[in-house]
Amino acid sequence: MSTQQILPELSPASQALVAMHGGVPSGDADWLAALRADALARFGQTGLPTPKLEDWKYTDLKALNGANLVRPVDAPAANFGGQAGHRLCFADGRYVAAASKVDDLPGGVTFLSLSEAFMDMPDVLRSHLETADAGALADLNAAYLDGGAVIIVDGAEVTLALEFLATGEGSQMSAFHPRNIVIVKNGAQLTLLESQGGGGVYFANHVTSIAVEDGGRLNHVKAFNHSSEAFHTSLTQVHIGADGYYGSAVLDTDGKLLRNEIRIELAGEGAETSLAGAYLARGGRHTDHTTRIDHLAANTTSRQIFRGALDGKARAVFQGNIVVAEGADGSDGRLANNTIMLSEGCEIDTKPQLEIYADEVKCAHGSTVGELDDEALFYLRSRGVPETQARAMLVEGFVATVFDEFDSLEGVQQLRDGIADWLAGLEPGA
Amino acid sequence: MLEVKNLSASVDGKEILKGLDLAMGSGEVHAIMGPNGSGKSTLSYVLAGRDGYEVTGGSVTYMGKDLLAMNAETRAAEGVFLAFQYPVEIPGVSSMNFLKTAFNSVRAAKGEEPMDAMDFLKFVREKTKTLDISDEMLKRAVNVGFSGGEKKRNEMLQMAVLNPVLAILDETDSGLDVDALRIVGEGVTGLRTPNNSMLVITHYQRLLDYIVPDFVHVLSGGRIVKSGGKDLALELEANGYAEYSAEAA
Repeated sequence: MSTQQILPELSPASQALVAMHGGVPSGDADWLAALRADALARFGQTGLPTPKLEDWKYTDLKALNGANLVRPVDAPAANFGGQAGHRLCFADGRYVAAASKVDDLPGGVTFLSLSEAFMDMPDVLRSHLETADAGALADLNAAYLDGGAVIIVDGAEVTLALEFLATGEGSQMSAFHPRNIVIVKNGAQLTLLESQGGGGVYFANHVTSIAVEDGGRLNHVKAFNHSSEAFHTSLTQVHIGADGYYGSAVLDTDGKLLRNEIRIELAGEGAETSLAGAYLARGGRHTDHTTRIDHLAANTTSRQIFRGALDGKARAVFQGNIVVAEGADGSDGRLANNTIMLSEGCEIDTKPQLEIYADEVKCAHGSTVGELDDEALFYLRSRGVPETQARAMLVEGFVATVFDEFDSLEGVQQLRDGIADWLAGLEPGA
Repeated sequence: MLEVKNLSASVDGKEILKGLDLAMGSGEVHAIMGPNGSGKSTLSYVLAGRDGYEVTGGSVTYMGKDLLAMNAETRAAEGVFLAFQYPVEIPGVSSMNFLKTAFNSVRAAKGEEPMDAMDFLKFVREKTKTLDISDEMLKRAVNVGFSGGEKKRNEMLQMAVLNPVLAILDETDSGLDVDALRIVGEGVTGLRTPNNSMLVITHYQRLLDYIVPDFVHVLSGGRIVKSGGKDLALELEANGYAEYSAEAA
């Protein structure tokens, strides 16, 4: 007797995302064609994540069902901000060679677009592109692989920039799926400055796969300033070898719905990570920062601090999970999430978690939610600072400290300026 | 300069000030002394414009204007300054940034251009010398991790920078050791001019060794129950507040 498997009914958005796939590009190598086809098949089984999944309990992509999802049009016009130095630029996820700068790279630095890398180094990419265990959005990303960067730093110390711009126009929502692959070899150091933004309606589904090998160091500075009509999902997966380090400083100030998910594997002894995030939301925006850190080896360290301020009817989600595997003794994990509510109508769901299977560990987590301190507000006003400006100063002081540890890095001042820019739009309090 | 008439005010529905009268002229230093719970801090908050302090009767005229009609930042722009008994910690905001923002806010309210960063730094350094405040302290977040003495010196620095017409010093001597008291006392005295008035609110006489008042008032039960010259402070130091508490009750 055979049982017939009943597939979950796919949402309209999920169906559209499957249907718009034009099949495997003709130029693909067999392995790549198979990888894409498998990923699409998996996505066809699951569809987009829904709140039925534990990890997606507080963030619902159902608003995509009402969108007219399309593939991005060719050669969109984009005005790139022009990051100084070496950079790769992408419009709607597709590489724009004319705006990029990749000449005169230092020795030991590979920095090229994904489409070029498919031809140049298929063997390197293969394992990094696999998404079998990474969830539906990663599968969706693998099925399309619209563009992105491949970065390999070997025996060098370098700063590189990635700029993603989207140019949604009209009522159609272009959906695109960039993929970055970053490998920091033994002892190398990379500062990666990534900016994402755009105008209009679009759905940007990014995946970045990072390997920091033994003793390597990567600092990843990300500025999300998406269109207020945009949906953005981002998954960053990081594997860190012995004594390696990954630092992440993220600023998130706009986008109708944003999910920034970071998964870290501290796989080698002495591996370390530090994640800092600031989220600012007003109007009806929804922002979600979700992290998972696996301490897989002994004497590994993780630090996380995410702070935000919410105004209007904004909603924020923070989910932070520290998992210490059996045998990962001497692990040290800390996690803090602090949110200021500036209005009656805003909402935060915060869920810090610890799962500990090792014997000797130091782990701590905590989250706070509160309003601005009345006394501090009066103190500033009594010195002549107008109320709205006083509130902005207090929020800035509260939120921007998450970046203190990263101050020496290029690009961090830009994050601080981004906080000030957002606060310049603060409305007088009720 | 300041005329408080029959002022009544309540906090959380409880009446604290009950018909307080006080008149101050330009350049005068008045001390208000009184036992705990007499309404000293309430008076200072009401004059500075803190939300939650409800004026239930009377009037306050400052430089010919209705002070009670102004919000806190407008009062500051008009030259009212409150030195806090417990200066507030503001994480993430450097003392220097705080000073500059306050100073330029007051200028903006008067329709003046902001002072540029270099000029302001020079201006502040002139003020910090006498108050024993280091550049390092200016870089730290406002009052965060400051000792009691540092917090009060920081208040005096703000006062020096904002150069108020009416400075209200709320228990500025509390939490200070003898040396800190001397620095703060001399700092305040150095800020005295023929045009600036000070209202020194204190429980003890010792601050008045440095800031010599022209008038001393006893506050008890939400009213001024006795006024006199500086000798009244010494008398209170010797005899305590017992007779005034009894009078109020």
